[in-house]
Amino acid sequence: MTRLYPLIIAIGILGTATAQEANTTVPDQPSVVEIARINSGNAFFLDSNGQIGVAKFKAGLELSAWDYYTDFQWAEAKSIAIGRNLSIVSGTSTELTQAFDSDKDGKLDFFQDMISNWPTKSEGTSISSGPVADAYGRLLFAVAPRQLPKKEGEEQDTSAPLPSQIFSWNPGGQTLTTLATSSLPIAAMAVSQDGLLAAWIQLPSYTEGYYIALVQLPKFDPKKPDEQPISPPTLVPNIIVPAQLTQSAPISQLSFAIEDGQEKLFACCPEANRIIEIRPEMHEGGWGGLVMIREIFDRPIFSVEAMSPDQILTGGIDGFAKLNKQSENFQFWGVRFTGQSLSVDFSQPVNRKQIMSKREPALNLSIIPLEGTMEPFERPEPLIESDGKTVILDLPKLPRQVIVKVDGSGLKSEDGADISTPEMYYTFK
Amino acid sequence: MLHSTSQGQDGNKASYSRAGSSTTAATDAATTDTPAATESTEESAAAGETAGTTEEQPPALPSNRLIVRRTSLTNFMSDQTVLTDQGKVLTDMRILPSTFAMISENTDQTFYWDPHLCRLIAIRNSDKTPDFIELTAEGGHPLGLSPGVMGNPKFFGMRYVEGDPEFLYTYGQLSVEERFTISDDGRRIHQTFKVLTRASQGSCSFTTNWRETVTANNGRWKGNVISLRKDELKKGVRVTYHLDPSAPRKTY
Repeated sequence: MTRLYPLIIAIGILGTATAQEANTTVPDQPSVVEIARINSGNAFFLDSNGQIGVAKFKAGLELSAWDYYTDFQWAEAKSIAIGRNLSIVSGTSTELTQAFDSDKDGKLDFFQDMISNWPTKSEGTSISSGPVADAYGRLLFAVAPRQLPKKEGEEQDTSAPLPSQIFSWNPGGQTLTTLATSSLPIAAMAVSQDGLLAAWIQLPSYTEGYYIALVQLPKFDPKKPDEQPISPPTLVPNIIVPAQLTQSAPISQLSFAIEDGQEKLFACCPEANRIIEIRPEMHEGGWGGLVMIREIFDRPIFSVEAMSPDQILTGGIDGFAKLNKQSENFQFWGVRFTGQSLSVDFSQPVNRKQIMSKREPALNLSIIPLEGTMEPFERPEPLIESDGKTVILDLPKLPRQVIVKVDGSGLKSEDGADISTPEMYYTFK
Repeated sequence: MLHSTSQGQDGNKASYSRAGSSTTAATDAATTDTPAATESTEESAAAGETAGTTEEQPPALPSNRLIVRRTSLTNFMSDQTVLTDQGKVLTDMRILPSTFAMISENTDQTFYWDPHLCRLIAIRNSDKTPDFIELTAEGGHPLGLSPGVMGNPKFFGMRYVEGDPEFLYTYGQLSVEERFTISDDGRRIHQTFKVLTRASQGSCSFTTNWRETVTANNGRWKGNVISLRKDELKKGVRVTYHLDPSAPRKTY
């Protein structure tokens, strides 16, 4: 590996020259807080000082080379997005800035104020999340009422809080588009290739978990970039990431990726050194989904980025690392809710004896109602399908909104492998 | 509402009006009236020049440089005029959001430039304890007395020119490039204003506290105000802040 001049990487990206391949060892990696994919082998990154760099990867996402793309430091930047011609958009609470390499010397040297005004800015809102680029080249950012600690003796503001909003800057457009609104602040968001928006909406008074809202964004017609959606959707909590999974530490960035043919949402939880995996599923017209710990690291991880299907890169305090593929492990594979039954799928056949044991069952169910209460219930009799990979559990009558916790602590596969993540949660809304 | 949206995503250098190359500026300067020697500024007089007639020798490229960092600060302004100006552009006066901190690479100084006020707002010398603020903004914007100024300045962007940070903004009819360089020893920081204006003249003004620290290489001082002709504004006026109290001043 070697430190690589950004220009060389840029040329490599364009495919007009051969990038210098590294033979020497790089003693260190940057501390990465955000990754923005350029293509399957190259990415921009934001480091913990707010400095932007560029990195090149070999097959298998092994870091080949990296270098900084500018000396400029965006101390408050949380995310970066790629604009046209490899420009980079980042920002602060008050503006989005677009950075160019105007003299083509391999360094960003021009930082242009791109968006510093939006409809509710004068009323005291600031950028709370973004920018995030979508498949159309739109740049999404969220604004929320600014939250500042109250001074001693300051009176409580009793006025109705302003709603949070997600705006998009549209290529070729002249005005911002309101894509979604929320009564709660939006602290992080991601957009899938087919326009599914995931947002972490904050409710500080709720300490049992973290709300994820999912909504399909209104369709965008590039020929009518300034067309406003008639009724922008309102974000509501669809999935709860239980605090038990994050050791009560907040999640931070969200990112979509396709793995094993399935669209997944990853949430970083740097304070607990872990990545949470969410598999969004539509159930009876509403979004819900499975939530579980994907991987626990020794050190904080801040960013997840899909470089290509099944090739997922992570960025953290120790640099880049490939997210290990889980399909070879023994783990929960999915959940299906059919009538009054819950089908729990596993990646490998389960140890039937453990599942069927009445004295020490290795698969237990808890149901947490989100509204009202629920009577205690006996552990349902499990039924194992013939391939050994699916366990069916009959459920009692459920309230309308519940979280089902499936606990497989101690469960082993038929071949004796330990389950990789013993707890899984599923939100039904 | 957007700023410069159509050009923003093109990835091309924005079409900000640059105030002329140095060659053009020198030619312009040579064809204009020569001001009285007694009116020349301290820097040019010390160098034996008459303001506006001799091509300025560019300062040697400093090996010390300014690292630019964007950060928010607790609002430490206290001057009433500055607070009034802040009230026109900030929705929350408690913080200075997204301030540009220019940090000297070799010395312990930091210079803060506010993109909302479009001006240098503080010079911090952390050599002195604790985090000594040498100067904080006072009075109106330095270019605020110039003809053509109206409304609030509007920030456009920042770029590196020969490695030095340069801020671009408009202020009414003025298009301004404001560039900063620092001396190797950190005792002087240079702030160069290049201004494109339709008016025939302009000015750069300071409060008394700041005036005691600065010299300029162009224009004519009257009190705390430097008067500048259109060509001088286009060529640029370099204001030097002498940051070491023991260093000689007003002899440049």
